[in-house]
Amino acid sequence: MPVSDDTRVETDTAGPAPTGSTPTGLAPTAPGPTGLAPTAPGPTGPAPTDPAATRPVPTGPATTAPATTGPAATDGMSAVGTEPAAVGTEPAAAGRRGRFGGSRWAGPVALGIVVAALAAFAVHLALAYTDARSRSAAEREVLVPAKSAAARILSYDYRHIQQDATQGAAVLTGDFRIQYETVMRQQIVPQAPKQRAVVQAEVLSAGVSGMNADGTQAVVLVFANQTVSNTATNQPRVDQVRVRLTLDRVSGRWLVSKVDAL
Amino acid sequence: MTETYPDTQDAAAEPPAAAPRADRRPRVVRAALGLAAALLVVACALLAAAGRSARSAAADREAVLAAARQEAVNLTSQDYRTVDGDLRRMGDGATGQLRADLEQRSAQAKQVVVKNKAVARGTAAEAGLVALGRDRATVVVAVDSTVSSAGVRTPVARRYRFQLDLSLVGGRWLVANLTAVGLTG
Repeated sequence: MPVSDDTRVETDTAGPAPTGSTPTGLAPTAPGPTGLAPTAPGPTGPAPTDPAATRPVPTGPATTAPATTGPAATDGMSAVGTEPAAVGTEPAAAGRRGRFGGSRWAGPVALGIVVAALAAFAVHLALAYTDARSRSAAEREVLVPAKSAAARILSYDYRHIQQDATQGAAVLTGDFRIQYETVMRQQIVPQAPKQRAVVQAEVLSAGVSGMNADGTQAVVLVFANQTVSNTATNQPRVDQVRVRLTLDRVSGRWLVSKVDAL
Repeated sequence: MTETYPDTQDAAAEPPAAAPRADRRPRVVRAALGLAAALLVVACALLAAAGRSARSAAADREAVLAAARQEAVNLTSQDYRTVDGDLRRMGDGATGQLRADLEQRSAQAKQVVVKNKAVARGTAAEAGLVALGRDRATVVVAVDSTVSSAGVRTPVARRYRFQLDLSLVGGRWLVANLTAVGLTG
């Protein structure tokens, strides 16, 4: 499963407590090969480590390539060791032990490739796991902001209608926010005082209908009772409301991007 | 003869210079890499197990929502021509209090449905998970239904707001309780 870099950044920034612990806990094992680089500069050092940490796929080829080409580059100074057997990196020892160097380093090189592949696989698993964790954390968290947002945008009072419109817009995002602001400005704010309109929403229950894979967008079903009173009604009327809210996590906050009345 | 092959002699016997230290390096690297590989295998195993449990939690959520939707639809769907099967299906998805209530009212419900030649068709408009535990869950379901019966010319549309409590019984999520949310009479 390809996990893009930007999703990883998202999960790191967004889910602080539960998700953050996992990747950092992994850190000591994942950079293992990097730590070993100084002792074995030639074949194992540069190749498998850095690509393994960030991008799992291309590590395989990357490790094998320097194992053959790398020594040639370092021996370029002595201008002799062009044959692949001359893996020894110290310029002085290269000539004497060159023939045996290849077989002595073959084991470590193979192990290095295995370690790099394992590290890549571990990173892949860690990313999948943190996605799943941030998704389930988001499912637990989203109901509270969803309920309070629903209560706000389903309520207003002609005595502080301007303030209600501002507070309502504050829990919205995207096109829906623009729609809401337009309706409030053009219709509700001018009309509500004339009709002495008060709409009070009480949220009764809410549940998560869906959540995207990395926990950044949720769909929530909300049941609310809306008590409506105005000059046209003798006594308050209670509307039984069912709404489906779509919420987006925007810089750490859940904001409503869509409302469907069901 | 010791003078002829100083290198091999040095490596085999007492190590005086830098050469043996260099000879040990592949072994050190191999040991370190072996340790890293072992640690990584352990890490992969732990992460795979954690990922599997996270995925099974997601599967649980889907199963709970599907069970709640289906039972909500079953409870709002009956046809006087298939009433026995309809009532049995309602009972199959229920447990506990709801099941007891359904069984108690079954005979009377059948009578009413048959007498009115009633046909009710429910559909779940949306469902949402309120809470999920190891073997219990709460779900809200919005159900639309149309009811037609003998004396009524046009079918009546009904909009329900259900909250269902579910229990995991023998590997199946069953509805133990159903309430209509916020009825104001």
